[in-house]
Amino acid sequence: MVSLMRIEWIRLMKNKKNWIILGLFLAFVLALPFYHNKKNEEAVLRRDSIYESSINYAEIERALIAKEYTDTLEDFDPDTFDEVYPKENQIRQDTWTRDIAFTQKQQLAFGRGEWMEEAKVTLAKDRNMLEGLEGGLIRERNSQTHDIGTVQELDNRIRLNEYLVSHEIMPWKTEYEPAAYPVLFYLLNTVFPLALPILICLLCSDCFATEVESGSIKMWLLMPAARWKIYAAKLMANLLYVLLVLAMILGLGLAAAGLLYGLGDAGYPIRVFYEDGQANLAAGISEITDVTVDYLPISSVVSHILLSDVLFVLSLVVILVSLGSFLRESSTALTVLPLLLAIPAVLPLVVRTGGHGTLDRWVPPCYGYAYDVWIANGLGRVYEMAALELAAALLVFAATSVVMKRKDWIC
Amino acid sequence: MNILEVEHITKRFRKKTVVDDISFSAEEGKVLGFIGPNGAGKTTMLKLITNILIPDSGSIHIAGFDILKDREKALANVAGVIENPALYLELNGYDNLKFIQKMYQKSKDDMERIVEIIGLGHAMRQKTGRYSLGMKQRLGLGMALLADPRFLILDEPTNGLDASGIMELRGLIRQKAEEGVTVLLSSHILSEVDKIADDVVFIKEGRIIEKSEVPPMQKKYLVTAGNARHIQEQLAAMEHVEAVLRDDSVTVEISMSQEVFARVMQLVCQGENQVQDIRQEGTQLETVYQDIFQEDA
Repeated sequence: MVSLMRIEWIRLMKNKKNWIILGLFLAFVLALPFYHNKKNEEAVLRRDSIYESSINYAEIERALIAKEYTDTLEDFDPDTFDEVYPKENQIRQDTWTRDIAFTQKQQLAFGRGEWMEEAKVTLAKDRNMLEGLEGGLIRERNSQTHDIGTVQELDNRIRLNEYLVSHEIMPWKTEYEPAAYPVLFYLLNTVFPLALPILICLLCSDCFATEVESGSIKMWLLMPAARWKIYAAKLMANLLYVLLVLAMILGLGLAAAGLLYGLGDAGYPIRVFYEDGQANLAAGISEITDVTVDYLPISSVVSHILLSDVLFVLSLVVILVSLGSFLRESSTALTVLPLLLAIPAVLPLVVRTGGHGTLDRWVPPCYGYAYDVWIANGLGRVYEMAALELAAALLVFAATSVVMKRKDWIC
Repeated sequence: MNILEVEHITKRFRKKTVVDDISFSAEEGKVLGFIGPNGAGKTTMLKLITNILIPDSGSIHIAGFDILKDREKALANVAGVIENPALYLELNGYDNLKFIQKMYQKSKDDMERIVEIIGLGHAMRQKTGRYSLGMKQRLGLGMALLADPRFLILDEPTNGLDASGIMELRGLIRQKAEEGVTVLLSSHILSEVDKIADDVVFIKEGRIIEKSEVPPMQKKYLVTAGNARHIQEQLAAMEHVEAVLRDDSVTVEISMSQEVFARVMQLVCQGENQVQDIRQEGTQLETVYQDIFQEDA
């Protein structure tokens, strides 16, 4: 068995196609920290411009309120004049004056890189806005165009920032933060659903179908070994190869980003919104009225997703190598196997049972954004899915091993 | 002792019976020729022997091990080239040989020795995809030899080989037989089989032609000698031998048997006969083949 595995390993290592694919993977992984850095710089610049536009917006709002008062004076009628109004108008203007002052402080702290100071000012600014909104002093705005948002949004943002400040976590992280941990997280969301299945399809079509097509399978079949051992050895070698590629991708991604920009913050939390007890991620906050917010550390999500995704990938290799062993042409294998892979990828588009953005419980985690699936389906369900995949893989392995014993190799 | 025992093997593909109740055996240290026209079921039979295909009924034993029940032990004695050499065309000759070296735990010296035997030393670093058919055959043969089998299966091994290659192969097969290796040689070149094989099995439409149906195989020699008449007189009394006197020569026809052949040669080559030349005249295998496969011809 070990000799057979070594032979398959040599075959994999000698295959130029595999090296080209691995090279492409590694090039992508090495380029990723630089891409993240660029995106992050853009995000930082955007935040600065947001402060500028926020000040402009506040000044306009204040001017409009002031104009309202001037207009009132123009239509001055001593009989109808409300004595409270000038005071109210001043309070409204003061809300915006404070907002402008807070934003200027934010910008100043931002320029000096004092994120804690910036976060504390942001909290004060948001509380000022929330007070204004609740007191009917200012109007709600759509959060996509202005940073005021709704009462709900502001409330959530305040709670998040309170959490971050009290845990001394920098609140300004983007998904493109050029540090090792976010890069790993990004890799999980790109490599697993896209690149890895393509690699697996190529490997699985080479494993048997290409060998049958070229006739080299006869070399294997003439070896003094039980047929199931030949199948198992090829399968194991391919599994090891996929694991090695995975380890290289994730390891190199971590190392490259880590060396260039540091490890980053693994404790940075992600927000989970629950509506009627159901996690709901994709829906805009304005659509949700009854919402509670949880904060989960990414480290915990990543470790669970990584494990369940690796289990999924391993199951996938077992199932596709097994199915591929019944195909006699590489072209057929390269058509059929990706189609099989596409089924779970397409499933969430067809079966959407959980409302906005909630993926179906039986969709493998790697086909969605890792944390979306994790949160939407819950940790238990993710492992339920992984257990199901593993059981299916073991069943397919056992069935193929039995069939192998009596299989005619038409080669 | 028989290294190969094939008993009542039948193989059907859907409704078509490709191999029909075939039984035969191969003796250790002998070269067994396997002859039949295209589509007779030769290659299918070889694939059944090597467990590439599974028979519908019957049994195959190699070195006493049932290929279906004891595949590992049975195939530990077998190597060969079936249909085309099983090569990885994107790899070079050494890499292909290395697979066998690793599997059968052979040394690098063994590998070098094989490279020398197959005469591909100059091309071992080339991709086998660039090899000529003859070079591929040589490498396939080398891979089979590296496994050091007791039972060697060669399916049309002369395909693509040049004249010297064919002669080398012939010598190699005979040498292996002398070392005790059984060779099952499937070929459509009857003269080759005739020159190498100790025994021949005819296969037609998936069935073995019974020995009783096969006309007796004979070999014909033209002996030129000073005393041709004496030779004719000496041989006249021998069974399975027919000697016809011509002017200064005698034509000797010997029924297929190595033993009889050896005795004839011993008699003929006595000094008093003044033998000047012995030449084989044509082959009877072609005649036998035509007799058996008349309809196909």
